[in-house]
Amino acid sequence: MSHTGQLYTAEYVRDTGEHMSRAATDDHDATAEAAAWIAHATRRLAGLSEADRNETDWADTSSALSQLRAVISQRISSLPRRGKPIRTATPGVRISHIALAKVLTEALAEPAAAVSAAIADVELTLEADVLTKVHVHLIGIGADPREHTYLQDGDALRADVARVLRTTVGENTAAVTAVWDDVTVPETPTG
Amino acid sequence: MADALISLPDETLARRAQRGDSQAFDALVTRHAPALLNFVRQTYPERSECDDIVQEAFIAAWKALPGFAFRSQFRTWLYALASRKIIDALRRRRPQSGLDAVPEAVDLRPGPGQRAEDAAFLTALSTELGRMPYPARATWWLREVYGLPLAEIAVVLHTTEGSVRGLLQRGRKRLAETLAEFRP
Repeated sequence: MSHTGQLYTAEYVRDTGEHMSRAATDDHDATAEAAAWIAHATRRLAGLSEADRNETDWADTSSALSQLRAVISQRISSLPRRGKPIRTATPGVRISHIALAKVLTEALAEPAAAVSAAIADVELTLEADVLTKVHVHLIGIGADPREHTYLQDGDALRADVARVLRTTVGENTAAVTAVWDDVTVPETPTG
Repeated sequence: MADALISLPDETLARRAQRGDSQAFDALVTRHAPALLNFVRQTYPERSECDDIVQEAFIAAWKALPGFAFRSQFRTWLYALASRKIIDALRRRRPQSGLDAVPEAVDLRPGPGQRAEDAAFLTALSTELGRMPYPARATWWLREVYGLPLAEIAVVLHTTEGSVRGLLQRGRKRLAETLAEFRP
């Protein structure tokens, strides 16, 4: 498809969502129309169409991205977060909220997977150094019929959270809540 | 869980990354780095420095995430960080000039795969885009190629929606005039 010599069509015009007076709008519309074919060409220039990219470009970009990812990962490993300490039932022993969130996420991974779910996030709320709330975000995996309801599975996972809390911080009164945020259906391979 | 991470929305991943979850942050890097690298390459004149700009933007994001209040989308915030890095780099290249007076050409020449009859037009287009000052160039790409709303572009460029609207209109007018000979 050639751009030079190609007729301008309305599909090139983007709805800009801009609001202005009628005179300004007319001027704006004329300018937008005049530049619509340039915007379309810019999108081609950006290489958004796979057909416009050659193999060398892809290889260069792919290699640059892999390297970027590795370097970023390595650099952030030397920039750890500072956790907030949570008091445990054992005097003198504390656990950071970051570590506890990790422990819970890890501990819940298997029971969640057993009920076709995954842990999206574990949010902890503290008052001073006391854990007061644990909020578990769940996502359902797959669309197969479930053995239990989401309610029952969520309840079972909340019980798992309470069990993990007993072994990590000891008896506590933290409120444990769970919410099903989303359901994802993994793509099945074709061919 | 890796598959599940990929399916999580930016906000959830960012909240996990706030608490130091490097896997969640890696998922954000994997998701946003390709487009961000494209954006930087399209708006910064020295290709060899683009990877570093993207890298520094992500490191800045990691460092600043604990204070990120989710008043804008993570993507918008990330592009704002990258835009700040681009501006810093442009200022280092031309410390005496303002951003509006930096007509440095960005290397966006059409590749060998593009058809010969397009070459003259696309070369002229890339030259004109490269000559635009950074705010106008960034606005053009973010709006016309990435389709960002004006409000988001304003956040990215640390300016107002009105300024973005003006930049966009002037950019359209300028391109339409300078490339008029190629108009079909």
